[in-house]
Amino acid sequence: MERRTLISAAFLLACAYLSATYTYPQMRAALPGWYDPVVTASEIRAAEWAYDNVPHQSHFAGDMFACEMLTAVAFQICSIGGAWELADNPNQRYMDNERAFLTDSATEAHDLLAKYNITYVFVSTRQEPNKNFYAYGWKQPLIEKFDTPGLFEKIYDNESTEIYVVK
Amino acid sequence: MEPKNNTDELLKTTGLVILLGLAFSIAYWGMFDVAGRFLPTWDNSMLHAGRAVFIMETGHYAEMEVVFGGVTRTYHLPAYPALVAGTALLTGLDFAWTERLLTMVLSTLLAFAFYAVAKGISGDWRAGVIAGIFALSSTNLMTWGTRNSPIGLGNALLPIALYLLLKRRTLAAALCALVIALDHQPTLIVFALSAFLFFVYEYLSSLPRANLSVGRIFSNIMHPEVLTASLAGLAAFLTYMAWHVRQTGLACLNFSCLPQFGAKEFGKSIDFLDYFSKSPQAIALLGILLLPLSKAPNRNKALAFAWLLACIILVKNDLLGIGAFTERFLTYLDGVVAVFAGVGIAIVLSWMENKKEPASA
Repeated sequence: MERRTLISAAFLLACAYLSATYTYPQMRAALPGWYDPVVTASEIRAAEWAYDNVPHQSHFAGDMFACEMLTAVAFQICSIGGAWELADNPNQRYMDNERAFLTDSATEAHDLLAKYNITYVFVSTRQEPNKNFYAYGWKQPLIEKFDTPGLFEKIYDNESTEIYVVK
Repeated sequence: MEPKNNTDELLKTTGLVILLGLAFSIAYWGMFDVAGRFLPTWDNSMLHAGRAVFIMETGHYAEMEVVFGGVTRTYHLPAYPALVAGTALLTGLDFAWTERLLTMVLSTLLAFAFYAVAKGISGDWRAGVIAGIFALSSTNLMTWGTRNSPIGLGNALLPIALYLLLKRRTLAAALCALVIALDHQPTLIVFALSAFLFFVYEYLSSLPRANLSVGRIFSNIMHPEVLTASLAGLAAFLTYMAWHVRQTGLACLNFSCLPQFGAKEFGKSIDFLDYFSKSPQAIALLGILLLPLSKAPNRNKALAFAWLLACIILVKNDLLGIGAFTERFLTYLDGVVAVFAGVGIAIVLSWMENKKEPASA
């Protein structure tokens, strides 16, 4: 056998070994966080319900991941997103959005959401409690306040995901 | 080293199967195992999906951002959402299945693109195989380049566009440049600077040694040997400027209104000593040292070094007083570094092949 063939064959064996023992395991260790869907199956079903039952391009409020998912699955506009640097007054919007979900005051939440003409609130209790709400980092939202008649009205409640109308 | 016989052809095909199989398996695991119940949502990928859905629902591109209340005119480019919407229209798939399909295709294309450009530069298929594997070993490249977002398309198109420049496929290179210009700004900057540096080399080397006139200096821009780089660069520049002026008017021709530059996003200074002390970056030093000494044509070497120099300038743009996006450009530096690592290893293998057997006693 020619020397060139032997060297190329040995090279290919090394490539296969490198792929199997280094590259593939390395990527399996490095990438899961980036491939994480974050949003739950329940949230996606709720968004599909919203696509069918809520006027398209309505203004929703949610956490960052739910918001971005809603733009695609439910064809809606949302209060915040990941590309915060591209927004009008993004830090104020982020802060107000976060406050609306974290405050225990239904009135304060209503006022903050009304300030940005939000008509629907999208909330979910995710199974991983440290991934419940993302704005400035992961936070724990207080969602009981949205059950305040006169300020909010629940229109969807299934599998720990709820949608409210902002009155 | 072009395949010289059926055995070489078989080995080359095996190399491609290993490379493309690796790329496909990583993308498949990511999309159908980790993200199996939906899609990856990091890095604004769902914003781009939202824009694709907007096209599918309305037939128009979303001129305004789809988040933050939808009140800001978008700076995002339309190629990737248009690709998703067009593929969905042609295949009948919904947006999520289209995103999965495109991610698998683009991740595999990414590996093939690095194979093609490294093989094109060195003339050895083994450079292509190992460059592709090293590219797939880059967390930067795989983080940004193998998910459902415009960067995935840009990362695959960049090496293809440079390969087309190398092969002087003028129309294809210009079309590829046009798509990059409408896809992703950082990828466009890397391509434009690489193409410009390569153009300078092509231009200077095609100038006549004697009877040089002022008229010739200008007309040489359209010299047949320079034409591909000239037209591809022009296609990228004019296409992006047309989009930029459409979105921002004439008041932002210096790009200072773009929020990425205003905010100086990801402006950390990169330590090259630390960067090149890791693997496979360290192996790239082999290619950087050996490529100039190899038998590869000078214009191949020029393209490789133009690409490398462009990435180094962009990663170290803080030294030029800009300090924007430095870490993001590491993604592109990882790509060209993978190519140099592949080229270096292929040169060593060629040297081993051609080394004379010691004379027998």
